[in-house]
Amino acid sequence: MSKKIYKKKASQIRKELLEKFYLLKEGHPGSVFSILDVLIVLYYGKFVRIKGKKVIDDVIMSKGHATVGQYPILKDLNVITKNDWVNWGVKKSVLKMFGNNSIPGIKTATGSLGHGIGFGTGMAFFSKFVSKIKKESYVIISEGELYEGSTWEALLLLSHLKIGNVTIILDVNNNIILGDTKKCLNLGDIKKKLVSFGIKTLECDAHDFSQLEKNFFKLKKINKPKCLIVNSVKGKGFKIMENKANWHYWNPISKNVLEKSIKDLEKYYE
Amino acid sequence: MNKINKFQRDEVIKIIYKAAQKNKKIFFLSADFGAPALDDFRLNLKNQFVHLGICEQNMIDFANGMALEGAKVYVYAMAPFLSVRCYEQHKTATCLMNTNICSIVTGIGLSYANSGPTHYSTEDFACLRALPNSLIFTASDPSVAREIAKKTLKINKPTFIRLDRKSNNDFNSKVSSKEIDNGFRFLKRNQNAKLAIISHGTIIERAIKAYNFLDKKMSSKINIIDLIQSKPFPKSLKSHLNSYKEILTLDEQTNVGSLGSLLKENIDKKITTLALPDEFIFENLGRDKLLDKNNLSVTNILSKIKNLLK
Repeated sequence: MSKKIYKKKASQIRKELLEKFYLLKEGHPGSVFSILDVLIVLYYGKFVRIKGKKVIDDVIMSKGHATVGQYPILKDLNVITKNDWVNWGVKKSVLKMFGNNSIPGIKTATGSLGHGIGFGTGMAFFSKFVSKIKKESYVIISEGELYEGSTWEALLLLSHLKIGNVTIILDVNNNIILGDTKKCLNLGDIKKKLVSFGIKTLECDAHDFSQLEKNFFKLKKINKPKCLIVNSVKGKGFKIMENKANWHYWNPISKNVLEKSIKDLEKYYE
Repeated sequence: MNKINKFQRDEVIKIIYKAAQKNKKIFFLSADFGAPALDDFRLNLKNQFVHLGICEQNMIDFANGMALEGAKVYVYAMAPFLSVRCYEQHKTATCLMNTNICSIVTGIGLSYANSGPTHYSTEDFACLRALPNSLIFTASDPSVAREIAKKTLKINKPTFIRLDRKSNNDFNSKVSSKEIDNGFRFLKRNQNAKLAIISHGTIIERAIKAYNFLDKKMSSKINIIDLIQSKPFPKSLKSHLNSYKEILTLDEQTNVGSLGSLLKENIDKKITTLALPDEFIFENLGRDKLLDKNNLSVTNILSKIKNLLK
């Protein structure tokens, strides 16, 4: 996929999301925009295969508050109906702030942190050894989920079972609700910890499309437990929220700020 | 009367083992918890058994991933750890996604006396029944355990089977499939009964002991009902219970949210409850003496019965 298309989608999807947050007056924009470029590469780069309305590969948004980032993409790819997207916040829609498996294209219920790797390991284990379906399970976790003990329990099992069809994507934006992770509770050398669990770990910029694409191609060829650490900017694309912990949640903004943010965005991704 | 003592967990596992030999989508997961019957499963169906380590939370998440792909998953661990240790996983994964997972919760009540409060499971019923989408079964004897296991093979929803740790005898030679489908059975039934004693699990043995102490005139006024399926609460039992003057529940759980509460939520009449006190039990007396000392002695049951039938 050309960088130009990725950039166009990054701008278009961000605009749609910002307008939706503005309408809903709630949400988790900081976390959504930090992982959005990864989602764009996964879906538009066809690492996640879609046949008709069926999503073949799994995207498990373990950091469930960022599931919203998947909706406009799935709408664009005809998995979610346009009506569900447009109606969300206005009238009846299947879409929710946190995803669940009743929403087309969303395979698990998440929102409570620390479940995704366990889900992904179970899904990959069954598809590899029983149903023999060739697919990849992409599990997106936040660095905040590394505080959950269940994340490490799941990594231990993933490594023990030597499951190669799970790719963990760890979004490191250095922020949790109350601020800098290093100051709140230092996670130490994350990469070293993952490697010590037997996880092949790569690292790249979460907003560099070429790097993301290159690493996803590389990961596809690795048949062992693996992880891509993506270093991201919380709220990426919007000056009002970039690297600001308080933008974990939506903050009220005026119509003028909304319009200016969209204008700036278009320039940024020109 | 079948006089051979059997372990409920072995009876359940044997049924699952048999079914798993034919259905390769049936999986058995253990959080480092065994049983003689499980040894066969582990040996002969290696590809359908996963040892999760002492790791109940991840066991449930992993099971959910498998179930979402089409597996029927049985998860197995000691009652206190498979119920409340991974409660949030049961809630936000199994029950919220309505997956095909059956939890074999083994060692309910004071089964693990004298291990103390960490190993007692005296609140699992209150906790588990609060979860939407789930079905709950409790076995009072090995034959019921076996029939519940057969039933779970036809269920595609979150299910909890509550089992005792100890071995015991079957009360009846064979529990009928109709009784299993109804969700309850009569262990003592009299035509003009005024008092229904409702219980589940092996504690019901004490209700039977108390019943046998009574003279015929008194015992003829009592029915003893074994509540096999408590969630959803059996509809036909609801209407049946309206015919009694008095209802007494007997549960090896604390009184908070236990069987008495369940009956109060479903029946619009006075319910008398006998259960463990709302406190941690530390004494090392053995299970029988602990039950005696904590509201559930046969003497206490008899005294309640006599009071209610005055």
